[in-house]
Amino acid sequence: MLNFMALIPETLLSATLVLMLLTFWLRDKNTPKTFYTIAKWGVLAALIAEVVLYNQSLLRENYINNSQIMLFKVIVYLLLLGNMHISLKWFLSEDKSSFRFYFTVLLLQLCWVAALSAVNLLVFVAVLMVGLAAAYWLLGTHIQDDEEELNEIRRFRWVALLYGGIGIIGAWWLGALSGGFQFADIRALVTENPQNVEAFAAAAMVMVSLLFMLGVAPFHFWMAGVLSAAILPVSGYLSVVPLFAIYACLINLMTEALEPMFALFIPVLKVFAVISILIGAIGANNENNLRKLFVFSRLFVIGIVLAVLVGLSETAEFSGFVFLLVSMLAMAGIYTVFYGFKSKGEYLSNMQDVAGIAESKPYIAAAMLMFMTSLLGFPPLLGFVGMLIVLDDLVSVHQYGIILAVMLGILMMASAYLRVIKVMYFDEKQRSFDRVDRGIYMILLTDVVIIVALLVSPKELLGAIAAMLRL
Amino acid sequence: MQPIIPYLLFIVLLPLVGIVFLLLAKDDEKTAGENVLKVAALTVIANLALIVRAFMHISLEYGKIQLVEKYQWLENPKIALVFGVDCFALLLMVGIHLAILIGLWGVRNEAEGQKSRMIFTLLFLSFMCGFLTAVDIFSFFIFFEAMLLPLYMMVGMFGEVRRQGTLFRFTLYNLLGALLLFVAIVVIFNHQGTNIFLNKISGVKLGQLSEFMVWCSIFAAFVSRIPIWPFHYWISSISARVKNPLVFIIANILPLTGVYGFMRFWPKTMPDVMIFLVVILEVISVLTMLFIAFIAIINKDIQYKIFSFMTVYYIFYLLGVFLPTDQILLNVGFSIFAFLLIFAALDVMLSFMNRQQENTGISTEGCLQYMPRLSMVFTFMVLAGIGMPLSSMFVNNFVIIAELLNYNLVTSFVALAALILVSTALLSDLYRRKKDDNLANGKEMIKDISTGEAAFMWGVSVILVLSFVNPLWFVRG
Repeated sequence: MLNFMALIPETLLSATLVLMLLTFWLRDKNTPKTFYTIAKWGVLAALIAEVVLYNQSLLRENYINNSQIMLFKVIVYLLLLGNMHISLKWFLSEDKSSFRFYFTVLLLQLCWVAALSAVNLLVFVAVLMVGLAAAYWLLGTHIQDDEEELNEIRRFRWVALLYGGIGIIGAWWLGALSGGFQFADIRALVTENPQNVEAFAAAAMVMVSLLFMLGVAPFHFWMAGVLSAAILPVSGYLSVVPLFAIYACLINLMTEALEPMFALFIPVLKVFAVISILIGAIGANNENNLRKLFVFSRLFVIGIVLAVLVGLSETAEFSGFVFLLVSMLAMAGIYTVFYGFKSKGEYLSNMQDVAGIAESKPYIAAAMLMFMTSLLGFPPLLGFVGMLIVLDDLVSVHQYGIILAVMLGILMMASAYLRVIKVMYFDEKQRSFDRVDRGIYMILLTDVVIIVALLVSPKELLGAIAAMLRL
Repeated sequence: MQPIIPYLLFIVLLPLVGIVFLLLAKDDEKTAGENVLKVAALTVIANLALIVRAFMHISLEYGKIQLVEKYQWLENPKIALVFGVDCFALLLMVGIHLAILIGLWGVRNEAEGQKSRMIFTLLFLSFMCGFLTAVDIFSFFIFFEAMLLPLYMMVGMFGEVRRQGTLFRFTLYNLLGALLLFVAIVVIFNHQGTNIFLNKISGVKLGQLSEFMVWCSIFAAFVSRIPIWPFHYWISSISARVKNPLVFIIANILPLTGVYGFMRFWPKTMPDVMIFLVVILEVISVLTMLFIAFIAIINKDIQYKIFSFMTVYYIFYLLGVFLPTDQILLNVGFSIFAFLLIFAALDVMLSFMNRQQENTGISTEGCLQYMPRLSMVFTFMVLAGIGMPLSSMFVNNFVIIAELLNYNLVTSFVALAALILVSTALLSDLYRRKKDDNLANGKEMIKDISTGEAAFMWGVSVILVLSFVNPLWFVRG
């Protein structure tokens, strides 16, 4: 029986999108705050509905909700809210329309929410492809006339089309082989014959599409260029929010549909994990652009998460989740700090531009220091909890080769971060920095408080996560 | 009887509370760093008082962990952090607090960046206290690694180290050591299924290869903190070149963490796979001692001489730690206590002399003649440092040497030779500074330390003399 109650969050998000469109067309005096306000209330209402209706499903065979899915959705909602709030500072400061940004991130949210609940491959791939198209549209938000930046975005269009196409073909092929698109049908097919070459090839195509969206090496090549070309709110959003959603989609697909043949993917995923870690670490060391540096940092984090997943320990999903969560908290903080790197009205992204910033903006520099330290898994910050759980997991399944890669990666990442610290703290100040909005300090303080509170007593949160992941 | 107050938690947290006050303290051109210095000094003194109070609750024997406090930290994996102390750890804490107080006194006139300097100092102090009170492998590791960040920041911001590349390598080298320890303790934890105490670690039985790898990692982790050949260069090029006295003191407390780590981890009954590591360590230790002592003789830079003096002594203590007996470990602690105070005082006085030389352009030779107050205290410290009967180093060094002679004649002779050489280096520098050499010009501009400053230094000297009479003089009974 259809349970339409389960669709209330999606309906609320859709209604908000319609309201935004109407406001955009019919209202003349729109400010950047107008669309933020509409989007904020829409997202809050959808989030509440999501939590209240967490166990309501539309059709158990096609579209489900449960505590595990709710956990991922809630995190994606919270990260989105944080990102929307901080992004407003950029639009207010630049005095530019925020419609395209807020409209698209809401549309993307709808896609992530639908993809997380979908247990039908057709729905799953379709919404992800819409998401990919929306991401492309989002990247074009207020893009400057810089030819190089435009080229980066154009290149992304073709690459996205290619990998999106591969995903669609793979899904179609897999559906044709199993005689249905429901995850249960596909699971039945691969359970019957886990060595089925055709099914493996089709599944691999879907996987490649997802790995491209996650930005795992060797499908990462588009990321650094595109994310540094985009405006700061877009770059911040795409670096943090979709990662959780797509990671959850990958887990859903793996556990609900492809689990019987997952073993076939492990060797290649292991290689992807290791090269992601190493490319991330090496790439970060070669960058002077801060945004690009942290894109490589993100790649490093994804590599570790993937390494944990392919380790196949009993707690791999939990460990990967915790590591991703603590890393993204730090990454969100770093993107917030970027809003404080401003001189003469211009947002700075070159490392040398922030030389000596600790002298005039000590709290901004201190926050950056904390977040980078946490991202590195350095005690006594929260990132250490994530790193500890990951390492414990890898040791429990004797993945010493991967541990070696992770340790090497940490050392190299440390070298990249030490360079940033050196520039911020030890180098002479080269320029004056603009006054930082009080709201940015408040967000940074909130992030720091969360990190410290979770560090002092992480067991309650981790216990709740483990319960939701049904460990 | 277990006290009601969780002393150890307070000791670790109090410097962090001090940081909150530092953040709130006014620091502008008018206050010229005085406010923040006072807050930091008060915090250190308050913590010192807590430590001394904690001393009243414990029995004074090595290795008996007391005042145990347990905090359940993680459920999955199940990890409880356990704090506890013995007499040795508390004694080191007192020594480190006093050394840092001397360092704070040494930077009292520096206004620029005082707030940041004080914040990182207290952060380091908090982590150091956590490190010394850690009883289980995880809390030990957390603080072992955590202290690297404040150290890096202090050396980078205030150490006036010209070659930043060396600082990078120094930090990465230490981080590598910490990562090796991280993997080793996670392997142990995974094997045991629970967090274990440091004194139980030698009882862990792993497979032969795993045991070898784990012990090698632990070995490398602690060696990375001590300037031992072949990696002594990175440490010495940082530790010996730091200009700021407070930063110098903190940078040179770091090797103590390696010695302490060996002390807590290293089993007295060695697994077979490990014996060759000890032999290697002994050989490179004594060679490094000799090598550094020779450089101390040749090198004209007094700061390098002090660094050499410290390195030779750290390795000397390490050799004591490796002896297959627990009997002398408390003696090592008593000696380290005085050693920390002496090197801190020497460096602060040296920094005063350097400032005078910079201001007046005078040379080193004979400069102490024009600073009679400083000359007396400096002489006292050098004599105490080379092992004269002025501090707890005197008797306790004899005990350690006696035990070394008892177990390994060759090692102990080489170690003794290194100690004599490094003492000669210090004495020759003292002679150079005191010899009757008429300064051509600038002597009228030379300032001696004030009466108050001299009183402070004599206060430190009195503590040293008291430690000679009874190393635990400040403990009731």
